Amino acid sequence: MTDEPKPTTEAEVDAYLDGLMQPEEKEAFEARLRAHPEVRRELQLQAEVDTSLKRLFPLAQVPESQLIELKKSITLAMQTETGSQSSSLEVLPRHSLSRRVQAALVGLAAVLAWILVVWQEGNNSTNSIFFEAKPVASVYQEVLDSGFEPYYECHEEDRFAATFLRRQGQALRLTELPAGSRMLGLSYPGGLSRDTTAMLCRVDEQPIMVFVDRLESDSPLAKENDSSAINVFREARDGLVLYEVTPFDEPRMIEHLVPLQESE
Amino acid sequence: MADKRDDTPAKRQGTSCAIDPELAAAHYERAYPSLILIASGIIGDRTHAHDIVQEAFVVALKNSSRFTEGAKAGYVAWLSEIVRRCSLNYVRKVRGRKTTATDPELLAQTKEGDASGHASSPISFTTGELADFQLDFDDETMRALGEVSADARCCLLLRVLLDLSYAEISELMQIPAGTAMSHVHRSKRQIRKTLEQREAENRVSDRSS
Repeated sequence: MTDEPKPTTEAEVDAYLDGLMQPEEKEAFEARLRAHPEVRRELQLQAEVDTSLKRLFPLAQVPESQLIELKKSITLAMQTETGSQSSSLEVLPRHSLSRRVQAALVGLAAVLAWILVVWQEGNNSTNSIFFEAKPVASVYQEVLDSGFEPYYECHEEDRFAATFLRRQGQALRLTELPAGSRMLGLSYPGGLSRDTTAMLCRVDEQPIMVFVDRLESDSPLAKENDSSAINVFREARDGLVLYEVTPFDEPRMIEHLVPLQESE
Repeated sequence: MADKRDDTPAKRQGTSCAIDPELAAAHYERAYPSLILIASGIIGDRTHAHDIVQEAFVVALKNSSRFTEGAKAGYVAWLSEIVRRCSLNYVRKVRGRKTTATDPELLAQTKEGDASGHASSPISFTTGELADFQLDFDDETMRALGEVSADARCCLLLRVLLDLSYAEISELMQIPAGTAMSHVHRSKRQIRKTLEQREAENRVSDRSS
């Protein structure tokens, strides 16, 4: 008999790395590892590879915007099927051929509706299906953390109007601001859609952002706000939705952003 | 991580029916991480995996009447088969592509006008890839992973990243569980061996320089 530890096999290393060993097998294997530094190095290397793979392939979830669009188109297709009546979300047994054909049509209608929505969005921006709407309060916080500086110091009235016309389909202008209020410029930080335009302002030296987008881009997510230090106010008018994120208890800037023709 | 394919009411009732689009969407949402990894495994990176999975789901919805709950494999397995086919189509398309992402002439100009004075560029002027001395461990892992077969990559990613059982991988990949296991074990060994060899080569080149 010899006290020399039994060498490890590839199969044992595989089983150990894969968590396939019984507790007693694992214990014995680990005891034998002490005499095999080269196997220990191999295990260490595998742990590094696994960590590296986790960095390289972070787990993905369906983008929220994709799910919203998908559910919208499915609901639309189901309404078409049932004549605007609500439908069960369960799998419906389909015994006859006509029911199967109906199901196929519903599926096809869902696809077409989805493709249509995606295509329409695609006209406004590229890859918009992968845009994820998020609360404007969190966008405000990110902008604040990065220095609260606009991308575009847009102070010429015509360029200001043209920016909203291009991005939201409607020219906007600022009415005369009261003392202590100033507009710093515009940013495109997302929020409701890829095309959301945000106006950065300071009122009594406090940072305020007004997010503007088309009404159809509005999302219930936009108004979510976990912070007690800021307030989010929403206003929908003229086919647009406007959100003001502010430390004040009432909106101070939103009313000054008006359609160009209204102020003429 | 396991999808609950067998829990659908239709399956319990043993009826043959087409999948409801709402249920299909729920399956899609739950299976999304696995589907992304399958697409990533086949195409070799995750950059285009989202597009491929989305395309596959559109194909699946369009053909949902062809899926029957009575089928041996579940809806997610059917969906993953479509993801595999879409990924393979993508790989074929990319292989046949004659264009490059960056104009090689522009890259060459960058080299000539390199203000740093370094003779070597971080980017290979022939392949557009990072030069060896610019690679860190993740790049090396990615490169080693690229040398593993597509099926083995899928199995490895599903096992390591989602911790799926071999039975689950077997259903998703439509291969025997034993094959899935040997894919995982073999690819792990191959990646370690490749990395060890590269490390040894780097040591030799460091010494010689």
